[in-house]
Amino acid sequence: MVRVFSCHNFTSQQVFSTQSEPIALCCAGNIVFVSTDVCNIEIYTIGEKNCQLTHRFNTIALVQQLLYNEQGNYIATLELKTTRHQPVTFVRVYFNWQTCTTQQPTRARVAGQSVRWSETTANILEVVELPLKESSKHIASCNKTGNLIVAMGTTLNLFYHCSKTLGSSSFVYSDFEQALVINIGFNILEVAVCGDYIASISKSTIRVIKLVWSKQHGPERKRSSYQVFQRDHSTGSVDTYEGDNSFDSNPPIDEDTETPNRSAAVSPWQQVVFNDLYVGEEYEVPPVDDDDYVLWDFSTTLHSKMGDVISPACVLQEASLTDEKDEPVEITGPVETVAGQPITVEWTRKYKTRPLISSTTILYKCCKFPGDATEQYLHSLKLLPTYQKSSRRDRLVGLSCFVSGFHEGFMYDVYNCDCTLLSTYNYTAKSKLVTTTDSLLHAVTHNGVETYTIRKMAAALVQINEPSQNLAIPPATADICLIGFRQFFDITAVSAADNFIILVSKAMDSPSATKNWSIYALEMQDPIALYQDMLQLAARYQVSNSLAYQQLLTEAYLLIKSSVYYEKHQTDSDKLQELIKNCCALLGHHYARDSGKECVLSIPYYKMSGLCLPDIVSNHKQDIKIKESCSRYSGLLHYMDSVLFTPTSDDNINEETSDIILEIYNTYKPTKLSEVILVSNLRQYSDEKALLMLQSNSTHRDEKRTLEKCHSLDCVATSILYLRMCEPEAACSVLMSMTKDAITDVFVQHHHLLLDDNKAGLSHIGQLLRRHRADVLIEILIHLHDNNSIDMDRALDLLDINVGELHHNTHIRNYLEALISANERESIYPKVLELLLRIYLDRLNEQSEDPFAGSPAKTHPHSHVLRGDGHFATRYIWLDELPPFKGSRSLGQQCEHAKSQSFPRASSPLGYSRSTSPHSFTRTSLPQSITHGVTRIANEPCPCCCCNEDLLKLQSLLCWKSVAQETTQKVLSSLVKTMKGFISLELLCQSRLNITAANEIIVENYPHLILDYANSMALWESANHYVALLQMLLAKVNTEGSSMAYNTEDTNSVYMDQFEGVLSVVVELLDPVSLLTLLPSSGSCSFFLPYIERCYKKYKAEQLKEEIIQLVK
Amino acid sequence: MAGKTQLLKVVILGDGGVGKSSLMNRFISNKFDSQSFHTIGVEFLNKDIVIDGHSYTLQIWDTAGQERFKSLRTPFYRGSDCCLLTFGVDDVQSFHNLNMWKKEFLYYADVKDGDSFPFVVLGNKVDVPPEERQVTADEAKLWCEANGRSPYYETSAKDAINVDEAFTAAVKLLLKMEERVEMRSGYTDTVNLHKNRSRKDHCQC
Ligand SMILES: Nc1nc2c(ncn2[C@@H]2O[C@H](COP(=O)(O)OP(=O)(O)OP(=O)(O)O)[C@@H](O)[C@H]2O)c(=O)[nH]1
Ligand SMILES: [Mg+2]
Repeated sequence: MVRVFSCHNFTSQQVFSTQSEPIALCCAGNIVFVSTDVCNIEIYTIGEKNCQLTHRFNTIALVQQLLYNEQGNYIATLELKTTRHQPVTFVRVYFNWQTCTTQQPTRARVAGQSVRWSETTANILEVVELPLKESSKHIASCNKTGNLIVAMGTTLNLFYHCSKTLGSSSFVYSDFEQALVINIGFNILEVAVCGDYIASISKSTIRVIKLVWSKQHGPERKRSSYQVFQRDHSTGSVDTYEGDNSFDSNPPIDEDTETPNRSAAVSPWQQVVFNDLYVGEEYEVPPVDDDDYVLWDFSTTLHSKMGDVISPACVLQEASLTDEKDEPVEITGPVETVAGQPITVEWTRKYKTRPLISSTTILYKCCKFPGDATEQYLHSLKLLPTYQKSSRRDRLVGLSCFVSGFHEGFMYDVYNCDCTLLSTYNYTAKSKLVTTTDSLLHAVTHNGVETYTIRKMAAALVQINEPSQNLAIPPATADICLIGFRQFFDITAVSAADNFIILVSKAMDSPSATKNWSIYALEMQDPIALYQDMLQLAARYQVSNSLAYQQLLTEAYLLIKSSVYYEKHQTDSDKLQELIKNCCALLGHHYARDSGKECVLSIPYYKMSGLCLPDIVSNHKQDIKIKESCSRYSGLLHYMDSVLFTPTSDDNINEETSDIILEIYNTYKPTKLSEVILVSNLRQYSDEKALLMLQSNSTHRDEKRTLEKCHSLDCVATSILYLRMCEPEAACSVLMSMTKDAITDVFVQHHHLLLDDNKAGLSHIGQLLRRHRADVLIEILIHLHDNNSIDMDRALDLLDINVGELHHNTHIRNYLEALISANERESIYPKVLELLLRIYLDRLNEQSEDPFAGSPAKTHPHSHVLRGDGHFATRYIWLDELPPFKGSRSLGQQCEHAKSQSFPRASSPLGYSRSTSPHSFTRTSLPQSITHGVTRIANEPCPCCCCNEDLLKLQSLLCWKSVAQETTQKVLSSLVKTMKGFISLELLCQSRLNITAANEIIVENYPHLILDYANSMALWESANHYVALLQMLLAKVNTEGSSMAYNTEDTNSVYMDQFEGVLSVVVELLDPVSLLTLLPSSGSCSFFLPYIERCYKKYKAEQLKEEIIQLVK
Repeated sequence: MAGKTQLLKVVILGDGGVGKSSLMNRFISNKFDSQSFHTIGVEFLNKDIVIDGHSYTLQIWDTAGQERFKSLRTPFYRGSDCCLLTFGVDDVQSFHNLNMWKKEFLYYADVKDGDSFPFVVLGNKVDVPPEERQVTADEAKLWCEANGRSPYYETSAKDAINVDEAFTAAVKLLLKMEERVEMRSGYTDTVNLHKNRSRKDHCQC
């Protein structure tokens, strides 16, 4: 779709007339080349005021078409000469046109012939004729390589532009070598070339191809003595030509990868040129004796002598269909072939070692057009490249292809072989000619000149901008605009100079005797002026038609961007940059107000505008206060999010702006408000206002019943604001109203809220949480430990590990216990264990002095018996039999303290159970009636789990499968005999350090537990431990037996039972001989025999088993 | 082309040193330089002339006469309207070579009907003392008679004798020849097609 915004006017118009009737024209910079019907070219320089004829030179024949090439600084012509009533076409190239006069002779030569006049002056006008045997239809050149392409019938002849020097002389001259013959298959009327891209049209078909160079070469030969140079026209210096594997200065591999392997890409030109260019060139005509003898040496260019056809087999097999199809077809590439439309690419014979070359079709389009089929429908074919300037060489970053039909023109993006239709230009009348500049397209119709915008820049921007920069690029396929129209009649030729459109107008029906032609130079609007006109027009649409507004802004942006990029107005560079920023700001504002999918574009446009958040907010302030219902400000919110929640950007936003920002969120995105308050970079807002917003917000929310999660963040935000406003009670009550999970969620997600500004200690809210919801805080800290947000040392710091006595810090103990209760955290066990053991031992120690210390008063059903989570292993059952416990039942029984009286305990605000307080309390103020009971209990400690929590946990830790020896050593050395459960702890430690000692303790003191004890020891799988225990028992039984006097029968039988039990185990582990040496010589045969028998049987069974296995083997 | 200036391509051929460049200079700028260099390759210059009230632009092609430059000059014979065959009256070899020049021209100019092509023969340097003269006017005229009755002019670039006359005569001859061709065959497509075919045939030989 074409939108119409009339904002473009040509600023001035100059009319001048050539001396003879103009035929064709072309432009370069602000120079116009006009060919006339008297076989000359007139060259005009267009100035502000007038057009001045600066040069004129004679051409050999009538110039039908001419072009100027920047790279070669040449004028190429397609000439027609009718001699003796036969029309013949020529393609000629004129060099040194700046020095020409009509008075000086023009020197002529044929391309590819070596030049002999090196000694004479080089600066006279020189014409180089291309050796062509057929009639040419159209010519085109590549402004980067200087290569020239000639359309002849169905073939294209590509001439390679090069600079040569002869032998040792320093005389450098330009030349062309016929390199490729490409058969397109249809009658070519127009052609365009840019690097390896070639476009051609017939009456109604367009085909765009790219040459594909293969790395395969023929056998390499010795270099000839000739050297080929590529002249650097800008500096005038001459460098040895180092081309790439391409006609283009930008080889295909470069488009994909940033660092092309230069060595792999050997220049086909370099190779072919060095090896073969002059083979067969240095002949001399033999002396002619015979008058009839004629050597005709022009045959080198004959088609019959062309090189081999190099094209895929599939192409060769294809038969060409008719030239013009009935049905319209469009094939967008890249495709290797188009069915029925084969293409062949051939090297000319001169190039003997040449890389294989083929073509990829990017676009094949056959148009069905209205009217007379003999008429030429397509015209004005153009390839429009965009290069990125660089010191090394310019890089092709965009390539558009334009072709026009009668009523519509098509702009395709063909860069990198991907074909996309960018725009369709629907003219208001039948078109005849089209010309383009870097940012505009001018179509000549029967009525005049229509000016449109183009998307060349937009398409190239995708390649130019680094994706990482996240810059906004207006879509290249967006609708184009018709921005201006100027009435004209009888235009026969058009061309675009830098600042002018040049038109040739010829009145067809005026008397031929008078000059009936004129040339118009229409001065194009300065980009800045056009930009301003566009913005002015846009402003009119801003309210009524936001789409039109957006489009005009985008056009203005692309316009300025193009004029900066294509460097036509370097002097205004700063001004243009400023305009780009302005335009980005306007686009940013536009998208900020938007709510559609594109609203996120506010971010890149604002970024490109250079505006900071306060500027932007103040821009919208007025509108927001009015609370326009039509704008949703989604774009603005996206932008503010991106700024406020990016850690790096530390915009110092003042209070006024901050309050507006909160207000914007409150109005347009209330769910995000608390997050902005809590976690954004925004700092300087007023707490009161923020609180008010949150409160009004929450009443709204309650009505709407929105998500709980948002709500909990709101609560935390409210609480924090209260704290900031020094209202801790209000803060506390908000916090207390929240569920544990809600609080945990919020702080796990936003853990920095727990920390103060220096990140050293707990924040106010953190402290409030610790005081009132310590359990939640611990849980949060555990979560944060696990997600690596706050490690253990940090958490311990926060919980004041360095304040007061460690073993009185319940929070730390809880935290550590929670840490060590999960298998996943095994890596930090040693550290946690060390602290926890210290805590438990210190507490046990303290309790040995004061039995009430650390005894909680819990009445509700509970259990402190640990089930084996993490490092807390299941305690050995025999531990329940050791003091202070009296069998497993005793643990579960109701606490004797509680039974007697649950006395009140004051818990410190921060959760310390201060040892001094209960101590003095029990001693001094306990009622007399209870004191007795207490005393009684003190003598015999309560065995319940509540009173022995520390012991239970310590035992559990020591029961863990792999406690290190150093750890047990440390525990052992810190044990005090008066400690509750001393013996059990000693046993647990010794069992890992000194088994004999442990065995002795158990054998001496708790003989009935011997078997349980032995079986619980995982270490005791080997026979030795049992043997040692057995021997110890044997000795014991012997002594017991001999000293019956002071031992009860009971005790003895206990030992005997245990002895038999151990013996039963040993029997299983030892062979008969070892067992016999172990048994006492004085032992009763009847007692031991069954054991020996069992041992022997088992031994025999094993032997048998061995034998069977042996046999089987 | 009525009312418009007609461009006529005139090629000057002849051995090196016979005075081709000198003749062109005399005709175009009415100057003579006795210290001229051999021409390398080909050059052309335009000159407007009026004949019988009609204006013409002569595109005069000066070629290198030396044999070693053959490959440089021959490509530009195509499209010629007229050819000036030049020799030095003081150089009999240059006179003998006229045959070769005519043959070379007809071949490379791709002219099929050699008899109807306008050649003008110039005997230059007539200013030389009689004792240095090696070719007589009669000898020259005899050759012209045998070669399509080409007009013969005795010229001197040095003394500006007959130079303008020779060029004017060339144009007149050309016009006359064209008229004759028109009358004889007319220009129909048929004839052109026939001509094209015959050219192709020739190439394949
Ligand atoms: N005496 C005399 N000398 C002449 C005349 N024309 C030319 N010359 C001299 O002859 C010499 C060669 O003349 P050019 O005009 O260079 O001869 P050319 O035919 O152009 O020779 P190439 O360029 O080598 O083919 C020069 O020294 C001229 O001065 C003439 O009419 N009379
Ligand atoms: Mg000469």
